Amino acid sequence: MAYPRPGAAAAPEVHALHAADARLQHLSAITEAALAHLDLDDLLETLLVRLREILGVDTIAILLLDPEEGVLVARAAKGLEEEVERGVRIPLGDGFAGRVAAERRAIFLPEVTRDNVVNEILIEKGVASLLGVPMLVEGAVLGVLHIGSLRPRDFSDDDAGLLQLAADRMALAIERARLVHSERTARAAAERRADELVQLQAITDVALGRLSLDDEVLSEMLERVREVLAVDTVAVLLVSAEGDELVARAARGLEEEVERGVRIPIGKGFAGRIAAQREPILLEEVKHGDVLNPLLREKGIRTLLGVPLAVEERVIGVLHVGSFTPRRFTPVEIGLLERAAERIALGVDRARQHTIAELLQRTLLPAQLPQIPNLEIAARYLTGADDAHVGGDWYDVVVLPKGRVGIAIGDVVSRGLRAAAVMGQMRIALRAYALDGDGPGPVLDKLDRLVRGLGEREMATVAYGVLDPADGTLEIAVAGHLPPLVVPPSGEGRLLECVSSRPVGVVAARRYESSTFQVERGETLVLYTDGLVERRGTAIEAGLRDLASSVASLAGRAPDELCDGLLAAAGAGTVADDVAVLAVRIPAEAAKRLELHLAADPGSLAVMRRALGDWLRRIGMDEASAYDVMVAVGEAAANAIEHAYGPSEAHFRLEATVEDGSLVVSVMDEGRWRPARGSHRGRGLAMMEELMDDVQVDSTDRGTAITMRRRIAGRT
Amino acid sequence: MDDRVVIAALPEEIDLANARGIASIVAAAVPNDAVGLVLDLTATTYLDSSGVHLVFDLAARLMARQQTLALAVPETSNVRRVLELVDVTVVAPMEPDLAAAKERARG
Repeated sequence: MAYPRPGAAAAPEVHALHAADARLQHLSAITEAALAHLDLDDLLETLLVRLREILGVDTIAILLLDPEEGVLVARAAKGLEEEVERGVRIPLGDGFAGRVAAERRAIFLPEVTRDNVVNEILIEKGVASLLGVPMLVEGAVLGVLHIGSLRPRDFSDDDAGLLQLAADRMALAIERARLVHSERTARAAAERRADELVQLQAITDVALGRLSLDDEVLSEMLERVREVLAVDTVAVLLVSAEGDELVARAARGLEEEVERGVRIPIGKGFAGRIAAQREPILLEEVKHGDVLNPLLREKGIRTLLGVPLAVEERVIGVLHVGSFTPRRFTPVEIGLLERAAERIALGVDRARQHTIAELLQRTLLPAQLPQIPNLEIAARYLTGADDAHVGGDWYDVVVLPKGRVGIAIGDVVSRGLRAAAVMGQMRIALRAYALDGDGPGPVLDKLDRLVRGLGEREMATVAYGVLDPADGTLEIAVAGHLPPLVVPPSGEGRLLECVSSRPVGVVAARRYESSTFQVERGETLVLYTDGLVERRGTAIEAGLRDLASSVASLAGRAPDELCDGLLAAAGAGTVADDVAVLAVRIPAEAAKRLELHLAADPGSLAVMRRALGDWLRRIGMDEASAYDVMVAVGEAAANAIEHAYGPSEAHFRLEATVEDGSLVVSVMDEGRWRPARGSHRGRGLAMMEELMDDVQVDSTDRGTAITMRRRIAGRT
Repeated sequence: MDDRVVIAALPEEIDLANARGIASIVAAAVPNDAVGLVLDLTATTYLDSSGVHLVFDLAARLMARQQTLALAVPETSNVRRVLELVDVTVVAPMEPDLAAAKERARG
């Protein structure tokens, strides 16, 4: 018998096929339509029912080739459903279907016998005749389609042609369905994977954006790892400060590890070996000897996978996940855990560096601004949102002789720990030069020499000015720093055009020159670092112009509020760079009331005299009377300082007001009044009484208050 | 030299913060064979009771060694008023300038 070769079935030379083809038209329509929405099983079911009808046969079956095993597996059948139910498997080359597939041609069995079929079901069912064709796609065997008749039947060439045509189409349909399926699976897998990565990335990026990797964030990251890898436990252990142990830092599903403060020697046990070998370790079946931590065994962890946490080749800890049931980890999952470890390690390391740098920075900045007579001072320092941008910005206020005040701001160009350290040195050096009595220019000259001598290849921008609150004179020298801003009581600010010069630390060149300006009463002088004006994509000049004009909305505010307003406007804390702002205002008019809060230290006496003297002048007290008051108040203050109580830092307060033409001054401390000890202190009290109209000493358990009155001449 | 007088120029301000230190420096600077000491307060603008104590303390030490003490305090100085208030002249004469004070210290 001559049967058409597979693939030649559609050739037009067999005109009978045209009719058959026509019969197949609606089958074809079904396949096209079916593909769109049916899954493979529904599709085959539909096709077989249709085909059995068209061909008028009793049985029809599809066996698909499992290429790995080399067998045909019954996939769908009509009239022979048992074949599928029993999962009939025919080796390639064996029996009827096996031969069709192996020989890749149609085979007709007019009389089915035990000799020419291996499938018992065909015999049981009493199939008399069989016709089978290979299902081919691009020359590759996909499976076999066969039809059978319970009565002996001589299948015609037409039948064979038609069956082959149907087989070809079904093969295509199956192939396409498979492709769609595998594509869908692959896409779903890819999407899931991408999703996992996005999830992982989202959580870790949030962590990296945070200023500190606190326990909450770390724990959140671990939870995400647990979800993504579908594991029961996750734990992070970090290398101890001594470097010889791992200490449990955070865990999910294994919280006891952290609570118990589990410590594992490096090199020992599961985690210890990961840290020592710097490689992932997978324990598919956890055995007693594999782990050191009894907790892992107590919890019944069956499978463990751990990876090192490393920063630039340096192992800082271990991340491990565990499962209560035995499971396998695919290379992709191991890779995923390694990527999570990279991010966690980076987060932990940055958080540590950031914490240290921030701590150093805060330690190196002035703990407290000095109280300066007739000057309102406020300062702020904010670390940048970016962990890498800590350190370097600084400010300082130095009390100088004769009531003048030195104000400084600077920005060390580098960042991080080193910048914070250099900043600390510079601040103290500048303070020392300023106290030596040097003017702004010479102070910067000396600072420049110092920084160049540090051998750190460090440079910094600095502005240092000396302000005399009495007359508002400001002498300021600027080394590559942004121009100072003066904010009037109302309206826009003005930038002070100083003689500009190079940053300090760059190169020995001409001396720094200072410029002199006038700061009026009620005006605020603002020194700041570039974090206040720098915006991505904006020129610095534009930033400065914006600053000067936008500050109008803050004009008239007290320095504290002005600083806060400027930082808020700059979005400080959300911008990458750190920011320092120092604002100094000469109050518009004498306060009705003077209040000072000073350390119980002899050094406070001069500060107090300055403040009091200036205030007395401004309330209109004549010079001789003011001097008497200053001596009397000085005695009261010296008394407060002399019996400053206890080893901790003590303070005293001074309050001065005008009541009914009289000056009323009180000096209050938290110590107990000590009666005159020797003639010296007794002399002090006698002097107070001589110099003032009235002196009262109130001593209680909580402290001592000396209240003195003196008539202001020329007033009633 | 039997007419040797030590002159101590005191700072602008004398209070609790520096009085004790000044006292010991000045006391150490007066040798046994000196005739006397002049405290030059011509540049001093502020002096409180610890400064007063400094003057009385030095006067007592010098008296024990039979040495003289004189103060140079300008007539217009605010410091003079404080010193007058505590009757400092019972232990040391106040002269308006350094030359006069030196003369007084020589005896």
